[in-house]
Amino acid sequence: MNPLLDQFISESRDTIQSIGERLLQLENAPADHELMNELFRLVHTLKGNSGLFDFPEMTRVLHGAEDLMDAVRDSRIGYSQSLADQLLEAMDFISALLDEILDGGDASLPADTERTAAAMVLTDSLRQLITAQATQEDTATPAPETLLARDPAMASCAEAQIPEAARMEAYRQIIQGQACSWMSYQPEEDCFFKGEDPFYQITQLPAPLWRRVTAREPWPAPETLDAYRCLLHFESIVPMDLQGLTGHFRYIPDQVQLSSLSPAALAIPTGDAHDSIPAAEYLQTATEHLQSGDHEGLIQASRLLLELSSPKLRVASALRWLLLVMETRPDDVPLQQQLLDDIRHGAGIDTDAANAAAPSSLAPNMRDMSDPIAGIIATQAEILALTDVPPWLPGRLRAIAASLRAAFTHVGQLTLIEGLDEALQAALERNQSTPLARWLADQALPSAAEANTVLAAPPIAATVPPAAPSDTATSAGETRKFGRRMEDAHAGPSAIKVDQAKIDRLMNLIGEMIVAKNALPYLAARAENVFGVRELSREIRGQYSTLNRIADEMQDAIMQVRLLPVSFVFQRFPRLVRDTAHKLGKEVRLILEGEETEADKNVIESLADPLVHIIRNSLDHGLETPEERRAAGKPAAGRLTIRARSESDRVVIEIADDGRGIDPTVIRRKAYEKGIIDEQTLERLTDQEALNLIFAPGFSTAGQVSDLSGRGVGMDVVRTAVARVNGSIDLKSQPGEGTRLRLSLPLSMAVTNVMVIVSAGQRFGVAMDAVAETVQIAQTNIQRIKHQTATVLRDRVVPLVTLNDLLGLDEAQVPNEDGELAVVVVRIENDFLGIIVDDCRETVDIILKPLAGFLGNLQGYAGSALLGDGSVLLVLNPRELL
Amino acid sequence: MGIEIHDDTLRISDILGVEDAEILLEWLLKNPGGAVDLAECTHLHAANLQVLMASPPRITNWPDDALLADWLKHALNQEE
Repeated sequence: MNPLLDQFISESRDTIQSIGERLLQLENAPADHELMNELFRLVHTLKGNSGLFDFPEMTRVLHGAEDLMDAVRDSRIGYSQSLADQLLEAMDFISALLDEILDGGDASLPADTERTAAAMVLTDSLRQLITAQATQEDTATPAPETLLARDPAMASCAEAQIPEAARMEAYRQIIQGQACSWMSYQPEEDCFFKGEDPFYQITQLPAPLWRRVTAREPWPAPETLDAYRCLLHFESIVPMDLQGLTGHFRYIPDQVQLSSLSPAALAIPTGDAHDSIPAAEYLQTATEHLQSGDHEGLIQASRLLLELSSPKLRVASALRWLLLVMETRPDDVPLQQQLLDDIRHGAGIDTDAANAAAPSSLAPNMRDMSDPIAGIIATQAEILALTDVPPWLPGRLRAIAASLRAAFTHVGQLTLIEGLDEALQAALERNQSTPLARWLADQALPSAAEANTVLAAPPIAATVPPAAPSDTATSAGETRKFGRRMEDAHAGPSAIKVDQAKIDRLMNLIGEMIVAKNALPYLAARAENVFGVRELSREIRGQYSTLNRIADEMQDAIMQVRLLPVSFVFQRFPRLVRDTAHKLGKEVRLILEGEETEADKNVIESLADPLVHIIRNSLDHGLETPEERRAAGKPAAGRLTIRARSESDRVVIEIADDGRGIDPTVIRRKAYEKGIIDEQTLERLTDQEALNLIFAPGFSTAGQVSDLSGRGVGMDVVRTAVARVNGSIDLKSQPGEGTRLRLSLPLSMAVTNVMVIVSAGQRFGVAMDAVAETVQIAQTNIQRIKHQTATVLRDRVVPLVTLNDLLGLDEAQVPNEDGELAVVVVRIENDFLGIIVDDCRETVDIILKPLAGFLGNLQGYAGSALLGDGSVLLVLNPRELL
Repeated sequence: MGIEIHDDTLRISDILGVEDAEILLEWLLKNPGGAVDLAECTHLHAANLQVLMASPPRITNWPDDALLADWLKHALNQEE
């Protein structure tokens, strides 16, 4: 999981918690504007944050909540109990989503029809609160009819407009197991301004079986056409299941109507009415064939009639469908029956006549053809009532069972078909239809009438959005599937916020612990030398190594806590670069890399100012104006790259631009003019050395003092700031091609490894970072060049200074028994310097404390530290000493 | 990418972006008898689709991309 998402989740949880608290406070003080503002702000923040990720459902719901709170804040609607309930419900939904995201561990949620639907319902009910309350306070029970109007009936109207051939193709696909869905997509009029491309959405879908593009109003004359007001309306049959299609349109569920297609919904005969066709006769034979399961006969009869009818007639269409159904699903009796019924309707034969033709004694309401399901059930009952025992009885029984199952499933009465299988089994064993007939009589007939009412409500699973979002506003208290209360899931927050002072205290304590631990070797030495107990000494050392390991781990752990990603500093750069570039009339493309690289908080914080300065320099001096760049054959927009990465125990930050670079000759001349270097140096300096001059105090290259950089704050300040956290900086530049600055910083600076040296009877520390090596040099090998001593070390001349001189101590350095002097070779920038000391001792981990108070002004010391034996160690800063 | 004008034919290649819709509309208004060659077009933004639908030009070549061509032909009512 990426850190941004991590942070989002933990912050969102906090926010949701606060929203809950504010809402409860509002219940006691419903008119408190302060609280309402606060609440709006919280919801607004949450929504804004969610937009960073790919959670359309979350953003949708929060958007609804935000609108609602906006209305409350503007006093357009008043605060009420139901409003609080709705908001809390929405927050529970968000909470549940957060849990899901956390479980998934991924910045994207898989599309889920149910979730999308739940989000729609929630959003609708939130929005409804706005309109309902705004218009007539509390009494509003919005008319459910208007919302229910979008149902399969309408969908089938639309389907009926699809050419028969396309529907038949879809039908075949479905029979072969390829789910097909109907899609109608009306993009919003202003969708182009939201960066949407509806046509792209459409062409990303698989090739449709049928498609149509229309305008929602007639196209205006081309002269008056507004190309950016979207009037398009796409409709198509897509070979995709509803789930996939919902996922595809998950960002705009309110602009699409989707439904999955069933064979029955497709088999709608279309065409002109007919009257001169001898349908009545055909119907009688066909019904008989159908009931007796005589497929061949039915096909024969249908073919015959089809030949007689003009292909454009509705009856021909119905017959073609019938033949297709017979061919592909010979057992689908209900559908075949439905098609025959259609022919009967079209032929103008009333139902009584049909009843007369059929050997039936059923009540007319059962045979009501406008209700195909009840009709189907009744037909099955009729067939079961037959007393003959034809050889195809098992097949007939199975067909009936299949029809009944389909019929009951269609109306959603799944509980009713429980006993069906047993009844079928019994019927098959006894080779008679009685068990099935009895089951049907028990289960179904009473409910056949109910099937009517059930049918009126659209099957929710099949249409998106689900109907009836209207009643939720009024029945807000009822729990939904997604209405998991926050208290239900005790998903403890995985992150806690801690005051930095507490962390610092912990770190100081661990630091002291390390110091205390370091006292043990002294104790061991004392035990052995002073008290002469060798055994005890060894045991103390054993204890020490254990303590050492634990202390190391503790130190490591606290370091982890203090680590911050560099994005903490980097995040302000895009704005800085944008504003600065704007002010300078330059075009700059900023590239940030490795923002997740981590380093100690202090290091990161100390970086902020130097980096800002470097970036300003780059923008001001480095990058050229667009005109200059074009003249130089570069793209008009300059590139500024800030890249962070870890390198063993250091963080490296590179700031590179592709600007004009730094010309060493210009630097040389400037430095000479400003008296930083003399004439001799001027000749001698290499290009790289000349470049490094920009770090010299008092150096500024800008031709004119600009508003931004070049105000006396030079690169020397940057270098000092970086050096303060034990960092180093180097610069590479190629005239005409750009400049690259490289900062190298320690990951952490809490514990410093220092070498203890002795001079004039005192102990001092030197940071190990600076120590290149320690050598013993015979006094004879020390040469004096004018006033400067030096020695040759590995074919290199190393200047030597004595520490006592540097510290102003009037004592000579003491050589060892062999007459050799101990020399600590330190690296200062890229030069080496040998410091002669009396003796080099062990290295220790110390917590470096800067010198404070009156000693704070003292130059030459990096700070002080407490040693294990209780004494204070002064740590030298070789650079300042010189 | 974009639009190339050859006498009275507009050749569209690659992707026609949202900003191109105005250029397209302007050209179609100026060249009422103009033709559009879409052979190398891989996608056009819905705004362009609108423009083409509102003032249908003669299409000399349909896109090579079968799916896109199919949609466009249906949108412009020129399916075979």
